[in-house]
Amino acid sequence: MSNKVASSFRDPSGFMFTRGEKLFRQVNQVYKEDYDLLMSSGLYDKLVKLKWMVVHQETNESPLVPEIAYKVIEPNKVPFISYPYEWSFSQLRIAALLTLAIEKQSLNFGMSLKDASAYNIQFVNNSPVLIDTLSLTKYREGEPWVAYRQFCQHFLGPLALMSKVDLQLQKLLINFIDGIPLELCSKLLPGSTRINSGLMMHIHMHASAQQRANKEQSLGKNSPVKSANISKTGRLALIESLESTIKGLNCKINGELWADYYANTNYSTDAFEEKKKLVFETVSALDPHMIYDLGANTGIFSLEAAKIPGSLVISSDIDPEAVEINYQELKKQKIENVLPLVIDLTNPTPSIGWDNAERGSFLTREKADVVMALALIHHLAIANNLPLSSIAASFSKLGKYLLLEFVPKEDSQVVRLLSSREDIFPNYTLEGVKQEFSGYYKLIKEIPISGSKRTLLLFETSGK
Amino acid sequence: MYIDPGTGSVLLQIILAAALSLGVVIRIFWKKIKALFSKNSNTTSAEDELLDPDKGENQ
Repeated sequence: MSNKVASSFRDPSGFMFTRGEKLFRQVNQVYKEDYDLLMSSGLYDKLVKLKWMVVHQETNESPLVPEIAYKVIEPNKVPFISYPYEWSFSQLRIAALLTLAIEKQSLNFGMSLKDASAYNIQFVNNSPVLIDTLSLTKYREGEPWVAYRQFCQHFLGPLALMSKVDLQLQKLLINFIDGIPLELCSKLLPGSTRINSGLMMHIHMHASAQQRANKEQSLGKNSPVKSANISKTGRLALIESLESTIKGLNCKINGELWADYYANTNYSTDAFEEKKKLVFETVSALDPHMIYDLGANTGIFSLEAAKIPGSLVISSDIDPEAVEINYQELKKQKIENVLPLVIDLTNPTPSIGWDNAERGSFLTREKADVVMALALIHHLAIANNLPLSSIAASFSKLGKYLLLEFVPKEDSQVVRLLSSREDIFPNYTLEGVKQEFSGYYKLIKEIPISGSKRTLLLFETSGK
Repeated sequence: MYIDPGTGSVLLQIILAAALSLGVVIRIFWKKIKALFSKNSNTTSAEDELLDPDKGENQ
């Protein structure tokens, strides 16, 4: 059974398809010259050696649409697909810098990126990788960079908004599948960004240039674009200007938010260490590969799970600052098997794009072997009024095992949540949780965490 | 070319490429002048090496 991948239709050079469990890419005849140049020029080898581009093998697999096919290649599978609106600031920033680095490198080999979509980048071993083999095309002397606008919409605009206005503005990318329109970026950015020469040129002037051109086009004036001529030095200077603009953007983190988080918990140092040990022992006994750490905050317990050999931990949190710290810490410690992502569980990333099928929702990705939900349930059940049975139903769809930490009403975190509202949660007790979760799970283990009032519960889905 | 580069984007590129490459030429010229007067020219920061093809973090 073969199926074309839903997001693979824009570029006529080829497309992805699945056959059984395997993923292939059909390279079409129209891309033959470029593909051969990519492979023979040494660019492919160079990019693969740098780990900047996905590795692929040429196969004898039969093409899905033979009439237009040149080759069928099998790219190495990305272990977990994630999207730019789920990345932290630094993840989007490094993906942008990788795109520019690839473009610069390609020009050395007589090639160039014909698109600069953020969706062409994925994180493998916590580093960005270009996954679209067909993005590279022959460079023709004098031609402008066709992907310039796309690069600004997918990377520079969102990064500028996150850096200069608010990290949460990255969620605009969910609404605009081809990147945030530059006119909108220009309107949202504070006036002070006009003295930043890079942002002035690539966002503000870019937006007005587009506006003016659209106006002239609607008046029927001919555009001189087809005869545009830009020297290679000019192309490189443009790329370098984008590069230094992005390097100049940083993300402000309000120290309080995270530094206080673990200081304010209900754990003594001993109990905290005890919880770490219990989490590691319990999860590693299940010998998991894919682990979700939901509500991971800055990823302290993801690190415990990451000690399990062969594991990949998807470390998600609603707070973009916490996820940013998580990513920076992983980079500092050179840990590669944790992928931090910004996910709001009360409104998980939806499926977006054409036919609502291009970019999958968070709930339809690779299933986990173990789902960890530590000190999370009170946020869902009390702060968000979610019924316990509904939480159980949703978690049970994500993976086979669930390690849940129950936080009782006496816990200061819950006391704080209840301090400003009526307690309408008579069912929110350890027994209540066990009862409601039994509709979807069977309880395997119940471990009180000594030195605290909290309990770890290990569940296995009952397959109902 | 399967994406629309955008007329405005291309026009801006023509202007920026010209202006920025002039900047590059001036920078190279300036570096050469500076090099005449100083021996130590190694000023790359860790940030610059982030995705340097020779020292990149992805290696």
